[in-house]
Amino acid sequence: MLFNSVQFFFFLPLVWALYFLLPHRFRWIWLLGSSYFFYGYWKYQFVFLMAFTSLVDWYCARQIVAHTSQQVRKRYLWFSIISNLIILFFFKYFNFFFGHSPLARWLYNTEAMAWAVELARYTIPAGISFYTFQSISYVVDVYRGNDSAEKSLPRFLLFVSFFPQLVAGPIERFSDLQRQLFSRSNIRYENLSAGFRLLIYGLFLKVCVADNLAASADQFYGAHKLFNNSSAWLAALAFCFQVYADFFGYSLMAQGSAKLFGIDLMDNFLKPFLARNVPEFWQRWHISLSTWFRDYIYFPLGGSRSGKTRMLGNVMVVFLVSGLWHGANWTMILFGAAQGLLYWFDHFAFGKATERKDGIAWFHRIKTVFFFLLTLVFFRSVSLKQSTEVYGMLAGMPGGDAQLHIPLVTWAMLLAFILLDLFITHDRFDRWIGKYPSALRWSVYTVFLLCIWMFGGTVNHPFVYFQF
Amino acid sequence: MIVKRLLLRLLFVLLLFVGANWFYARFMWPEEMEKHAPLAARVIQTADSADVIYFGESSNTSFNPFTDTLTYSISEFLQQFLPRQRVRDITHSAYHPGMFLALMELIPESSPVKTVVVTMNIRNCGPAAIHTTLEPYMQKQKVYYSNRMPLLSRIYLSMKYYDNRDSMERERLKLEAWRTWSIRYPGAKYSHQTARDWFDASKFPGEESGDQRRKRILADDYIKAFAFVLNEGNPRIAQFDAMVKLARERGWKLVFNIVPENMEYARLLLGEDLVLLIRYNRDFLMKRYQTNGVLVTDNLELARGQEFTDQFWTTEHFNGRVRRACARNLAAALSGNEPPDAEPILRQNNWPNPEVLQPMADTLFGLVPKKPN
Repeated sequence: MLFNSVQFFFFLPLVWALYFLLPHRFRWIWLLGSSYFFYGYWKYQFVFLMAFTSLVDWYCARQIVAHTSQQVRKRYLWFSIISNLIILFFFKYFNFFFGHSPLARWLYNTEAMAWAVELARYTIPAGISFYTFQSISYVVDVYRGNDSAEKSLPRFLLFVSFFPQLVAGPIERFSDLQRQLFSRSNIRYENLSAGFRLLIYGLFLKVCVADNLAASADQFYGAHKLFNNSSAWLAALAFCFQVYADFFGYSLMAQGSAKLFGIDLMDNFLKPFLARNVPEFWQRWHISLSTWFRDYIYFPLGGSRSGKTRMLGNVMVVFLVSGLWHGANWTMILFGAAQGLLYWFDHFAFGKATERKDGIAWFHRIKTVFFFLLTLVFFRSVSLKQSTEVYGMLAGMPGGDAQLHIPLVTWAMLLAFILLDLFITHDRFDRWIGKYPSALRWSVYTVFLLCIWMFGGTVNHPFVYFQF
Repeated sequence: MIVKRLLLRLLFVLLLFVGANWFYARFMWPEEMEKHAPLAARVIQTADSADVIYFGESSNTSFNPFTDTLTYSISEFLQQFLPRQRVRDITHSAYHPGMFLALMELIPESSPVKTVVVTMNIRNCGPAAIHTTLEPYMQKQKVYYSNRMPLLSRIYLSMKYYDNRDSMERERLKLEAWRTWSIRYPGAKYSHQTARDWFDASKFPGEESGDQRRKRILADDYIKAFAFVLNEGNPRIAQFDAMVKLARERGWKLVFNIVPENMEYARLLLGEDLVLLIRYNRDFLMKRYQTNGVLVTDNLELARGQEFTDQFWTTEHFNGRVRRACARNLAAALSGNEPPDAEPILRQNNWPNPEVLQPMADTLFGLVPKKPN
């Protein structure tokens, strides 16, 4: 089920109402059932996959705390990590690495495995990268002694499957989420108000900004050779804000849904387009994934403790893995590599200069967004060939004659987003408006609702990060 | 206290919705209809001045650019054969019974329509057509083919409240159907259990390269399009059944027009096996609907292979002679198998360039000598 679906707007109030009607001790069971229904509504088969992953991780974590021998503990840790990665690999990367191999052909010709090969080739279980990473972080934290192992399997299943953050994060840590899931909460008007604000703002960003921009970006990338050079720039701009509004909108709706139950999820975005350099950008963009990579890949590789050269190498490794995480495609790997190279560029060309807060900061902000916009061509292109051709068009090589037309409504929505996000620099819009009297707040909600109802994008596009 | 505050806000949102719906319906709806679902308005207009409505897809209006001298659609030919009746058409390429049904429901009850002719395309009932990547676009249009509140339709569109499964998922479903749908029917002479078994089987000597390879590809295309067995579980059957029910409720005479398929090439490529399978499906449809009070005209084998415009893949695009013959059969069926009201003599209205010859697939079958390069 998607947040921007009619079904969700029946599902959420129903789950919420029954949650608070039930006695406290049954609430989490209701939430667990609802979360599995939420996930299975899309494709029920993958519910078993998620349950299996959770079961393995829960068991391994229990074994890690049950044993004192470091060797045995490590064995369970690696068993958990490898089993997670094998499942992730099969559904997300098998086709990329082995899609045309004799192995794939042999499996496809095996009666019992043909369905699995078809699934792996054409379907990625929604949110598999998110819940797998969340589950891995739990086992690693238990191994490191940062978290205690959950005794109850059903309670652990809820941690992995909690529906607001299941399909596209934020990737929560066990210690943060588990405590909130089982603590007693009552209906509080402040939570409802804040949750509603987050939901409506997030929905506005997804439906009005991202989906309208998606129509233009899709038009260009669907037949890029027909368009001229200025269209390539327009499409790059459209996709840059599309992907931001899309994922930011999703994250806000995730936070809003959880907030209705009195649960605070972490902020996933912190005005990334105000970042002055690449490292800062990634501290503000998809924060839960960036911190995950920092804690579970960058630090174990040595982080910045082993000298500058090693640090830069580690950064590149993290960005390459991040690229691969985003999708099994060479374009995604190059997207990651480009981020790594830009990190190096910022580091060597500007050093600490990017941290200045005077007028030059705006130069660095624009530069950072501009670089990001350029790298997104890899992110959006369906093949290396297409990305090469689009980069050529951006560089001035001749394209077609057609001009990409971005409708006035789309420009208006984009402008509204820029005003709400980038010009209110000290706070996020929903928190900022929350401080004003209710008449003003409801005027804003009215505008949002009217825009969602009348000007929502009609392009058939799920959330961009849904596919990861 | 909280409940009261919530109810007040809910009431405000409801009032806002009602007001917004009025505004949207008054100022934005007509333009949006034109943009997203142009046929909806056309159905309502057309039904006002029609005795017969012909629901067609590309088979109705696809003309052969190489040979067609009569570029009239089947429905136009039908009008010529039935001059005393007002024949109008609602045509949209790639539309299937599910879409026609939604459009039929838009015909006002007060309209003078007495007869509804619906194109029955056998290829459309197979997995390749059911899971086509065009489906989400059609489903999007279908959101507007409804009598609900206009603003609600608009919200459904932006919330993707329709069958919006993406192209990857549809591709997977198609492969799954080819792998799992049985193609056995009573009396089937082949040993293949599924379409996939049939793809996998070797078909021609030397099929790895050259013309034999092209022939093999074309044969597989015919299997993809036609290797399925119709039964009650087929989604198209449910859609045809719903049409029958609707026609009964509205008092229309319903006619299903089975359009021609390239049976000649099916035979040349795959022998009698595929031809018999297609005929089995045709018989299934005729038996099912003729006993239900529906007129079914059988034009399946009306066209020769060379009369199809698309020689290297499967479509129902044929030349004027075939369209005219289809219309004649329809007219005869509508007049109780009496000769049609008129035998129009139509003037040539298209002059194709005789220098530009249509590339023909039958060179692959050795029927026609290949031209030297």
